[in-house]
Amino acid sequence: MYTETRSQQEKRRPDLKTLNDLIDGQTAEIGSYKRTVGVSRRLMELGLMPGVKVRFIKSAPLGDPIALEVEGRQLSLRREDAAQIIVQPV
Amino acid sequence: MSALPNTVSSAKRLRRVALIGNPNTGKSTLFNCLTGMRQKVGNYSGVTVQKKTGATLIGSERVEILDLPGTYSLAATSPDERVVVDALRGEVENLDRPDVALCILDATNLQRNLFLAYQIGQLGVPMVLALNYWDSAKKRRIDVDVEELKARLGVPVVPISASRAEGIDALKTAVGEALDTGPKLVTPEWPETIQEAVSAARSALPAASDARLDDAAVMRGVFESDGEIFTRSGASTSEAEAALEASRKALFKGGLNPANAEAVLLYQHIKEVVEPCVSSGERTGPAGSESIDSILTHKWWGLVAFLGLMYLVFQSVYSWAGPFMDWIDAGKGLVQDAVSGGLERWPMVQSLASDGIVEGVGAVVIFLPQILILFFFISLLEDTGYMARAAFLMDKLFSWCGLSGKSFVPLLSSYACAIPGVMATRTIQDPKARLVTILVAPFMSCSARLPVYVLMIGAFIEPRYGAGVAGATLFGMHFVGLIVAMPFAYLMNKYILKTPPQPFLLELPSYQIPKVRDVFLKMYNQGKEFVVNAGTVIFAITIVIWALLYFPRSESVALEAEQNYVVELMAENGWSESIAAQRLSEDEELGMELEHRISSAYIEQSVMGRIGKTVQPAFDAAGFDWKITVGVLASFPAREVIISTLGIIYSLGGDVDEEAGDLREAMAGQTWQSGPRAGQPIFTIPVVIAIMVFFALCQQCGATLAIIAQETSWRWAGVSFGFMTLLAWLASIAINQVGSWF
Repeated sequence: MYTETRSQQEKRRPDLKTLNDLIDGQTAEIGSYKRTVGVSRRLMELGLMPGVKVRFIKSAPLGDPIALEVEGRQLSLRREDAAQIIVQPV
Repeated sequence: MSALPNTVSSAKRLRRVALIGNPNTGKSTLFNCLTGMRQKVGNYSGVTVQKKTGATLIGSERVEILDLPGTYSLAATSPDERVVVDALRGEVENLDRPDVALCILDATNLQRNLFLAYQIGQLGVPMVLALNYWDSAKKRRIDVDVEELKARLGVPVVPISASRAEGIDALKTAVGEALDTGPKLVTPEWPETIQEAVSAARSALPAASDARLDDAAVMRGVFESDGEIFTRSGASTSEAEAALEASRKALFKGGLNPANAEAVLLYQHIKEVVEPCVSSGERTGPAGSESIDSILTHKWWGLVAFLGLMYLVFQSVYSWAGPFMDWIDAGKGLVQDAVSGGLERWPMVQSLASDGIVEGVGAVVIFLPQILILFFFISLLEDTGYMARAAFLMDKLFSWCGLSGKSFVPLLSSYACAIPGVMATRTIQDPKARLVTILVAPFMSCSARLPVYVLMIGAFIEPRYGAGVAGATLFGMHFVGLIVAMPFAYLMNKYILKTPPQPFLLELPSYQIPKVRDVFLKMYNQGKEFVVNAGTVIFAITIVIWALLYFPRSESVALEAEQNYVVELMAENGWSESIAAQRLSEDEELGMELEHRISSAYIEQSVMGRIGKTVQPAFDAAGFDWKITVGVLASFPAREVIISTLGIIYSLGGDVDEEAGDLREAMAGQTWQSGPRAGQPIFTIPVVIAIMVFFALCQQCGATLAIIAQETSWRWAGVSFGFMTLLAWLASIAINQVGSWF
């Protein structure tokens, strides 16, 4: 499957940030999902709904996956999935 | 489970409570608290999801508690979740619909936990809600108005702290009342569009399947965009797809996205219901966990701590189990001696009892120390919350080939023994990653392969190349399986197991202090399940192999072996026949030698010996003669058996071990009897390496097959066996052929 590289994406919409682009400690609000397949349903069931605030805690020592705080819970996602979630940093 | 109907329960079935909740809500602790030792562990028929039931007393009534797998949602993407939906709908064989669903919620995270509760309520099952972690909610100044919540939800709500056994009596009382009154959750008023989508799906379904499904079931199908609920009610795949398509159209028309309609609408509703009942002092997570994590998932310290902990776990399974296993082995020897002594007059019964039955029981019990020790650590790692951190740390190393961070502990334990390793894959929720981990686990170099390496390296590599090369070879042998396993997992994941993409989701729960009872019960249940399920198969395999090695056993074989030995003694010492015969009956050493020769002759004449000679041509290219071939075949129930089998074949008796000098000498002295290689030694360096690689790659462990079948199905056990054996065979041929060029 063809997926856009980060740089291609940024060329097109430089303001479009995903959960993947946050830095340690940064907080953002979930906007929408890029792909609406089974992945987004699962994530939404866990509370990663549009409008919810997430805090990027850190990434794992090997760079992937990442740890997030959502509504007082800590969750871990792979970067591949995090890149599907468009966020608005606050 | 017994296939016969349980007469007690069919006369007056116990009323049943299904315990259900998100992962990490303290569900097991509550289950153990309610049922204590009155637990039964089994599998749901047809699927390999662990089924835990127990009993508790409510007032004077005995009530059955069914512990359903933890899940975040009823949208079924794994066998675990499918079982939850089926059990709640009363669609599991021999299991009626539960009378009450006892839904355990994390009081510190009500909104997300209520998502599942609402899905269950939608199915129409009466419900009681338990708000667990009430103590830590208070500590974090999260204030829940229980009375208000009760009024808004329409079902009993009981705050509890399961780990301190607080609120359990009140909970039992509430469940007892609910069994009589059947309180139902006030379900949300879904928008018109949802009802339209359900009707659209219904009208596209054939009448028969339409009649079998209630609105709640059709709604689940619509929300999940998954036709399985429809096809199982009798619709064809295309009819189910048509029904889904019709419902999707209706949803789109109403401005809803089928992929997230349920999540969006339900969370909206939950927010409206819950927000007025909850006031929260702090919105952040527990500070304690994050400060522990600043070390345990730290870039460097996290890895150091992880490696330290894993070393401890591995050492304990590998070394601490040793003495217990030795005791079991010694105990087995004592029982065998006692049994043999009493049955001397009936040699067949004696051999069956000693080498078949006692050996078979021993073969099962010998695994218990490793299983119990490993599950002691696994319970600790899971119950403290560290297991999720370990997966977080390791995921990157495993994700590329379809495994997950949670594969690490099972694979590491498989280096001690694949049995507990395969059982440990239960901690992996993703069914695909779990299956790949199970198939890869037997490639890890388990401790049963070690005697084979020690024998071969000690007999042939060390005398020739010295201790340095010997050590390096032993070290290298431990990586052969791993190197083959990773690409195997990658191919398996990429080309064979095609499932829709699932996000990798890992909750990093707050750190907790584990409960002794939870740890103990987990060890007990795992051990019991192993003995009952896999144990039976291991025992049966041992008996079959015993029979293949024992029969046929005609007197003439022994007489011929004795005759040959007498002739040999006569020629060697210049004795007459009568002197030779007399010496043989008087001299203990000569008598022992004769016994060994007879055993050797029997094995050669046995069914297994004949099979070995018949299939030897298949191993000819690998350089194995019929004796090695019989050793390899006899090792299929358990690898370490090759040592004693070779001992018997080389007329040394079955009591040799891998350090035995006479076994090494006997092997070094083996030459080809006929054919183009006549007179040349059998054990050349390429053959020695081919044998070791064969043992490294081959699925020569009946116990592992039994456990794979228990955890997946016999089909996957067959795949594992076929693939590994083929690979081992090809690799041993390749090594011998290539090695012979030098």
